[in-house]
Amino acid sequence: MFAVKTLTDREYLAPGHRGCSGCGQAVAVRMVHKALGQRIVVACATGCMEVISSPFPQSSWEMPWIHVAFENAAAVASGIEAGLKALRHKGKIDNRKIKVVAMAGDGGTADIGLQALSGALERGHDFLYICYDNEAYMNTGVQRSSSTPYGASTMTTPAGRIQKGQATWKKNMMEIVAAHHIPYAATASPSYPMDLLGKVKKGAEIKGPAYLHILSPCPPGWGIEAEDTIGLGRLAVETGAFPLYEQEEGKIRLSLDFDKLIPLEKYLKGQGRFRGIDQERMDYMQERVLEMWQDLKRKAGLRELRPSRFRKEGVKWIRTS
Amino acid sequence: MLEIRFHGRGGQGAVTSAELLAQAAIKEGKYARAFPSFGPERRGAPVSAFCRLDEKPINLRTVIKNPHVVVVLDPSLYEVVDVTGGLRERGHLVINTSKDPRAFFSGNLGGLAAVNASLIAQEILKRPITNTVMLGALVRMLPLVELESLAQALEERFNEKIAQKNIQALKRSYQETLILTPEDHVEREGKGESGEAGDARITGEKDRDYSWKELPPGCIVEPGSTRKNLTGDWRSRYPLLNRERCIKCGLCWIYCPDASLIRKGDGFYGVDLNYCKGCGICARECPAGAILMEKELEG
Repeated sequence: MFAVKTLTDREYLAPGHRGCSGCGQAVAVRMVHKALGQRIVVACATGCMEVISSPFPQSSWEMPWIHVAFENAAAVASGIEAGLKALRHKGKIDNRKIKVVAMAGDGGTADIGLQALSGALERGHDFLYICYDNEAYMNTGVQRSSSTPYGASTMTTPAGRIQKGQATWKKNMMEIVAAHHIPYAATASPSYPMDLLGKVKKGAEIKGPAYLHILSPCPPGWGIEAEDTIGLGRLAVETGAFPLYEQEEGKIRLSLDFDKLIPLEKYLKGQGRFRGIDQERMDYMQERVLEMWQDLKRKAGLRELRPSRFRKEGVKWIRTS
Repeated sequence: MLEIRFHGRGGQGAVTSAELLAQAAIKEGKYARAFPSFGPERRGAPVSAFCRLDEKPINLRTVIKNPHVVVVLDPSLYEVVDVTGGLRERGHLVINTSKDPRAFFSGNLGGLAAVNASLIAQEILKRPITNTVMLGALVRMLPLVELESLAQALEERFNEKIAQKNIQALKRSYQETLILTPEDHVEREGKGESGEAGDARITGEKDRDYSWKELPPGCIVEPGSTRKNLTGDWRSRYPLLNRERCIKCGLCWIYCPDASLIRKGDGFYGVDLNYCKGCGICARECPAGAILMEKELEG
């Protein structure tokens, strides 16, 4: 278990990186590496995190870190893991554990890197794959990815008179990953730090492939104020848009269960990318989010939500001014 | 050929203003070229944009090192970037300031235009995007293009509502701009004041070009070396911690994207202003309300 006071003071993602002010991904990465420590090797796909943290000749990383192409973070991580195994076998390194970690954005995971990820999961390498999902290609100026939610306006799915943003539903990476029957997969959010840290630790300790999907709000891409990053991540969880759960050996466990959800409208209204969305689309999204939530509850063996399913207000300590 | 350099922060529209000026000139039958220059820096980071105007076609596509005119969109940039670097003898400077513009005048300037662009942008556009406001000040000092052509360029670029607001801002800054000429400056020199305040200082590491012979093999770089890159100059607000209300929960520390909150021995927290980008997450998330975001003072 983790507590803020017992966390290390050491920063593995050094300050001075070029992330936007209020970057949700930078918050998530900082937390993840506080849980992982230094005995790791990281393969990082192209994306925001690579661009902001390693402008030549500088680097923000304080551990062995390798930048690889957009599509092959999982493949490189597999190679590193196999290489370490071989070195250990030949007696060239000692037997202490070195965890291999692959990290990528949603583009590098759900679109471009999907086949490498699938291959690595299927081969059963002992590594942890972390997807930092900011729901579009933010690095190149907000183009849609298959992880962009329905109704979100991006550069390639602009909201206009007829079409209101993204026309397809967000790809469910967790189910794709679960279909590989890997030992551990989980979703997490930097707005719930202790939950995130616990999941990282669990994923790193498990033998075999583990997958972590982290929602990282992006101020310029989502059209939100820098200070709202964490609050909005929390709202994504409390409205059911991004449920936090773990999948261990095929069993689903909800990390956070609510008796009532906050209306989805509250989450959408706070973001510039959903500006101009009409009531019809909003209702459709609300229905679908509820369906997914009910489905998840069924799978977790919990009682489904009853009709009066909306909580009136958020938890007390969210300031909504 | 006339060369103009714009300095702004990512998100303020320096790139757009260079493009608008070029479009307005093209409308009047002149030739123009506009383009930006920035690294991987993001929203809030210093950026520059360039614009060339001429009566005949322009083939030059390089960054402008010796501009005739420099336009500075953000008052906090004088501290951070050498804005007047390479400015030609008797060149012109257009600044956004709420202070007395005479402090920014130095001997070799041909003219200086000053306007409180942040105020105008905040009042009319309701957000601190100063680009069109600064264009108003620029054409007031140097009639490079007609105000009407700029308005046309705005109408073509933005939708009706935004264009009208920007035109309003443009006209207001045209009215309110203060122009200083070298003659005014001589008068002031006579009174025995010094003109040092306009000199820009550089706090960060200077940009330099690398020869391939100096590159480390295999692109292996020093861990954590971005610490040399002080991102504190992106900030427009800074967090103020109140020790009396602090309950030492550490949420500000864990939620900081830039690792700018430092845990102290007595359990309280301090801010490392070298790296804080002023996002305000700590103030928003503090359950005790012990953190306040204060506006960074100009200059």
